[in-house]
Amino acid sequence: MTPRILACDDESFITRSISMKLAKAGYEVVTAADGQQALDLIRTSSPDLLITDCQMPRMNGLELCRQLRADPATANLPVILLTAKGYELDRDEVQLNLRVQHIVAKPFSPRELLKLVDELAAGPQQPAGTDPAHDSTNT
Amino acid sequence: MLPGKRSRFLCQHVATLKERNRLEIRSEMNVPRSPSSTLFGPALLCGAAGGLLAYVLLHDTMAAALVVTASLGGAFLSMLSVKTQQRRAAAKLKQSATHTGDLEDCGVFAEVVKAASGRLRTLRDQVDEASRLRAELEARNHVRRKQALQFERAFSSLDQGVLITDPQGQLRFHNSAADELFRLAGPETQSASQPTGDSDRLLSTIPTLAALLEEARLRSAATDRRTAEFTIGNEPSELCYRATATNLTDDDGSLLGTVTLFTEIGDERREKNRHAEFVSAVSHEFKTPMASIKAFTELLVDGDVTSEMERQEVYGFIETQIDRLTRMVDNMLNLTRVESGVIQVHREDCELNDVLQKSLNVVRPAAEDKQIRICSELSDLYLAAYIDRDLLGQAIINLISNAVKYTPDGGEVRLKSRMDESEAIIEVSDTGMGIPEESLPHIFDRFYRVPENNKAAAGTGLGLSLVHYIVTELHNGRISVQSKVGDGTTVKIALPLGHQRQSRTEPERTLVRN
Repeated sequence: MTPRILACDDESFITRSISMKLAKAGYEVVTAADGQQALDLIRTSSPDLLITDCQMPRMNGLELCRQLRADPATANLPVILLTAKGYELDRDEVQLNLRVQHIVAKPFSPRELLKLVDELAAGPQQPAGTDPAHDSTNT
Repeated sequence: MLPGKRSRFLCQHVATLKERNRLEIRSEMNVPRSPSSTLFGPALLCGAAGGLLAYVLLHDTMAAALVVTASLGGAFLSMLSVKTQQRRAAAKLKQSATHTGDLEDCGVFAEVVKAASGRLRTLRDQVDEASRLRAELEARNHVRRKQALQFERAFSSLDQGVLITDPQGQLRFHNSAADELFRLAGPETQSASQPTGDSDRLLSTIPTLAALLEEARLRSAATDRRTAEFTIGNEPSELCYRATATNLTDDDGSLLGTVTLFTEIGDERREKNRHAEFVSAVSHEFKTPMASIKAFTELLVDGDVTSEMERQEVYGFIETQIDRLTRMVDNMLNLTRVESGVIQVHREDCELNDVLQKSLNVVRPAAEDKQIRICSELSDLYLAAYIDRDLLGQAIINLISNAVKYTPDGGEVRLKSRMDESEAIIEVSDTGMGIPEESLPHIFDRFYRVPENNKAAAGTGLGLSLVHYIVTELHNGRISVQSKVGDGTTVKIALPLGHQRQSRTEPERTLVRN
């Protein structure tokens, strides 16, 4: 089954470039423009991985992660956080508490991003697994 | 010696001199008393001896009695004369020490009077000199006291808090502004009217200040000026102050005390914070288009864009993002020009609708991206305005792109122009989220961002302040905003028409902002 990736950014150019790169690599990509939209999509289409921007209208990336971790169904969804303000981010909070797997600084390389996605999608080292929607370890 | 002490000392000195004067005069006056009493005895003895001799020689009691009486009378008369002289001498001395003049009638006392009056003159001179010095010192003291009062009043009237502490760290002076600080810092400090007794208690209400003063006092040799910042109260109404403690030293370098000034630095801090936020916002703003450019370029390099159609699309994306970056750099540059105070303005007669149309075209892709409908209702008339194309165009672009930014997908942005008596009116309205009433007065402030809309879109808080500057300062125009939260915002600009320009005489000028 093709892993499904959700790319979320208020800049359509960013989501567009991500989906071009990942689609070429054989992933199924859905996009959202803000945290709220992403949250709704995650609940309906249960993606295997989330790539999200930090600063977005309505609901920002960190709040999105918080909501995901609070819900047992999405508590282990792997997340890659894109950010343009890397130095202002509380890395401990993001990586330990929100369990964000990777923080990628903008401008980013789609090539590098694909590598991370490949790792997470295939990686058995990730306790979250590739299909967290059916993961029952947390329930 | 302090002026007061010196004056007291002089007073005493004068009193001593006077007292001594009196005593000396008295002792001088006592001298002449002895001749009268000493003369009386021998005269009495002579009379007795003469009587006895007359009786022995003449055996006549009558004659003897006469002699005795005569000599007694003589003695008495001479005694009277001496008494008179003594009285005159005393009167002379009492009368005046400066002018003794004719001393003949003082008889045997002439020498004594002369010596005494000489002495008196010296003493009188000394007293005069001392009195003069005393008056002078009192006058000087008065001036000093006035000066001190002047300084104290000046310090007291300052809005800036002032404290003066002595080398022991005790409060010697604090003005009402400083009292106010202490009052705010410690509600339990009711009155600050007793400075010395409450010194420690008062200072301890602001621990940062107490520490600063202690350090200034103990390490006075290290540096003569120290600063510390402290806040009073809690977050929304918190007050920020900087205390600057300067050590005062004597000519020999010994510590006289410390003067501390309080400066309110709330504005400074807010400005700093705003600036930090601005830098962060600017870097974020720049990174976003840069991220797209980098991503698409890499896709092209890696051969991920295979179809010709897709490739054309990606080229278009890159171009759009580069234009966006360029606009941002322009905004930044204009701001720097505005900030540095020198901005080149090239005003000329232009067709306003033409400028508006061009600005609209710049923002159109961003609007399409959000499926926002752009309606332009430009005047059919030829609107000649005397404007700087680039600067006014920039202002209009800022307004329209703001409207697009803060309008949800599927909304509408409207650009209108019309002629109104002597002005050209431009209106940019949207169906966006609107601006809360309390934010309206601030939207043209530099770096200001409406807190409620902060999350809706990224921004630097520069756009509108630049618009305001361009319209009002550079084009003698007016700008006003109407907004309702949830309904949308309308920005209205009024510009003087081209054929009316009064400032035509200065087609090109350099504006120096003051």
